[in-house]
Amino acid sequence: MQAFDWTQQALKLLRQLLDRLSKLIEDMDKFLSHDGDIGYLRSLCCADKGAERASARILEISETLVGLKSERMKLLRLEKICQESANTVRSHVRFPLLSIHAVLPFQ
Amino acid sequence: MELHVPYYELRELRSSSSSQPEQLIDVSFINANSNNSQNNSKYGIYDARFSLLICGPDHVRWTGFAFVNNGLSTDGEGAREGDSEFEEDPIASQYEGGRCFGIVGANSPIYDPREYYILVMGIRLAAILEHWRKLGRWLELSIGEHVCLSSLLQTSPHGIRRDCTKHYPFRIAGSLQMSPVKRSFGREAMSKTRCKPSTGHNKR
Repeated sequence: MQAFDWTQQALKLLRQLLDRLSKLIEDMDKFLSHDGDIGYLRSLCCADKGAERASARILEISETLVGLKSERMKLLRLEKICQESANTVRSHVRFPLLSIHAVLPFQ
Repeated sequence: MELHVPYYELRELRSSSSSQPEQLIDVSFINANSNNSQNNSKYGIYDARFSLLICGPDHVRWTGFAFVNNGLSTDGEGAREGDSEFEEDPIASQYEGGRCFGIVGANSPIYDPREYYILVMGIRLAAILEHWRKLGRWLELSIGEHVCLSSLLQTSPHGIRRDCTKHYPFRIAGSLQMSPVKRSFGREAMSKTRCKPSTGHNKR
C-alpha cells in the first residue's frame, strides 16, 4: 500500500503542475493567436525600426510556447505512467484477497 | 500593459533551515524515496510568480515595474561582477543557474513600451521554460526510479514481471543541471557569448 500512496501523491502533484502549465499555455496561445493581444504589440512595432527586432522576439516567444507544450507532454506522460502503476498496485493487492476468499470455503 | 506569470521552481532545500515558506509545495514523499541525487539533496517546489506592469501617459513617457516572487533575495539581481562600465536593465536582464537569458543595457534603452514589453516577456518566459524543464527532469528521475523499483518488486496479476526499461525508459542517475542554450535568445546579445552587451543595439 505504501507504493500505492506514493503514486497517489505523485499524481496529485503532477495534476497541480499540469493545471498551472496548461493555463500558461492556454494564455500564451490566446496571446499569440490571430486575434490575440500580439496584434496590438505588432502593429506599433511594425511602424518603426524596431519591427525586425520585435518580429524576432515574437518568434522567440512562439518557440518558448513550443517548449512549454513539450514539457506538458512530458508531465502528461508521467501522469499516465503513475496511473498505470497505481492500477497495477491496486490489482496486485486485489488478487491475493480474492485468492483468500477462494480458499476459505474449502477449509 | 500587464503580464502575470505564475510558475513553479524546483529548489534545493538547505538542511539548516528548519521552517519552509508557505509557497513551498511539500514533496517530502519524493525526497524520502529519492536516490537520484548524488549528494542526497532535498528538493522543494516553490510557487513563484513574475509580474510586469508598464504604464504612462503616452508612448514616450512610461514606467515599467517588475515584481518577482521566487523566494530568493533580489539584492544585486542582474548585476555582474567585474563589469562596472556596463549597467544593466534589471527587468530585462536575467541570469539564473549560471545562464544568461537576455541582457539589455540601461544606457541604450528601448523607447517603445510595446517593444520593451515583448522583450521582457520573451526573456522571462525563456527562463520560466527552463524552470519547467528542470522540474520535469527531476520528476522523470524521481518517478521513473520509484515506478521501476516497485514494478521490479512486483509481478503482474498474470504472473508476468514487467520490463522496467521498456516501459519506463528513464535514466535512474542523472544531473539536474540546466541544459545548454539551444537557441540564441536575443541574437545580438547572445552571439557575443556570455552576455556581452550589444553595441549598436537600439540606437536612436
